[in-house]
Amino acid sequence: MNPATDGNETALRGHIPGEPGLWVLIFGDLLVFGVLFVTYAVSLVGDPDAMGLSQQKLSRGLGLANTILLLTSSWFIAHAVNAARRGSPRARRLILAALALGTAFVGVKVVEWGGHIGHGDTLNSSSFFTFYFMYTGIHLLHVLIGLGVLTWLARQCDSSGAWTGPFAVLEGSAVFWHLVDLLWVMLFALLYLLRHGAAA
Amino acid sequence: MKQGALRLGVFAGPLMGTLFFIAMWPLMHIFPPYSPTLGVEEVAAHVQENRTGFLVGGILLMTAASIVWPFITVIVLFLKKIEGEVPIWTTVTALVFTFGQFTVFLCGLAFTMAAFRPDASLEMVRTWSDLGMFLLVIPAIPGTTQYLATGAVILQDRRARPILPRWYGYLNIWVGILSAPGAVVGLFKIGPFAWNGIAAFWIPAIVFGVWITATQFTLLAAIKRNALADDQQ
Repeated sequence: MNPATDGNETALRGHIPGEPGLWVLIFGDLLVFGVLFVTYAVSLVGDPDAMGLSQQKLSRGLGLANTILLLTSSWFIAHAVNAARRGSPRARRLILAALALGTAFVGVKVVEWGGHIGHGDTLNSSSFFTFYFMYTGIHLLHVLIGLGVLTWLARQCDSSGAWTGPFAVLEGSAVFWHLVDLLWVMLFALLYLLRHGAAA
Repeated sequence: MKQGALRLGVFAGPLMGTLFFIAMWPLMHIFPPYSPTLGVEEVAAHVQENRTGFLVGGILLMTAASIVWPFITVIVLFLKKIEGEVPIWTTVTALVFTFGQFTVFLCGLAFTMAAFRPDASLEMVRTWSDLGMFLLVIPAIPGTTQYLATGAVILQDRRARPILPRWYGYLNIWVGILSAPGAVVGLFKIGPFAWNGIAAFWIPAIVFGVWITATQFTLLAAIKRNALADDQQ
């Protein structure tokens, strides 16, 4: 049996990745992050000088490193889904690679946060740093939940490393991991790259 | 199987929500909440002007925390049905739910304290009123634990036809994640994460409204098809 169709006829009517219910979480999250992004943009336009001054303290290098880590991690999980579809024993190795890169993201984030806190820029020291710590913090909560899910996925493989669980579970988890990635790319662009007005 | 009693239990949820809203909006006028930057005199004046509203609103909040139990019980019964013999996450949900209602009760008590003595010092009035505001918003933290636990129970259901729909499990995870920003209101007096801000107040408040509405419809549908008596493995 082809695990991609897994005993139902959805493949004939167009396939929804993961399962339909998952998209309540995906679209709900995107909606709320949309509101958060607009709130930030309004603040950026309202007080460009003060925001820009704090914004210059961010390390674009660390932000870029984290972007590459998450994008690569997403790439590995996409290949894990392909490996599972073929019944290949490489599934677990690919999931573990995604997990390692996601963990490295958390490590970089801790170093980055530690640096800012060490320089006296904390959660409520300026309006920009409130946005920075809170938004990256809410995103980090997503990353941690995602890492929990990836760990659980790795345990669903047999001793050869092939995926044994329901295909939709792996695919749905990959969709969530891509969401985490997408939100980070948006945050990277907004917080690290986008400059407004005089401070640009 | 006791469908009438179960349905009645579900309606304790919206009743709790209604009492909560009446207390906050027309009685205490704290929906939306007053700004955390208000001075001692301004907060004391607000309590003074709405003294009876604060006292009656306090009673309604404490009543809301006291009548919600049948609603919680119905949720827990369905979760236990899903989880089976070792209901770990069902128990977590039930315990945190209990803790959360305790904070609602204390919230009503704090607002009562703020308005009880007309001759209290202005600082004292603001202190108790501030405690009420904190108790209104900060318990979103245990809420996160509760919603994630509920989501975990629903998504582990392996029945061909799940007892509760899977989208509702994902909805709980969504609500759990978005309640978390309520945790930080002690740090801020202005901006999106202050207790009247978009991220710490409006998003959790709207998301909670979505949750309680979706929960009613989901539970009523599950009761209608007698899911508690479902014998699928």
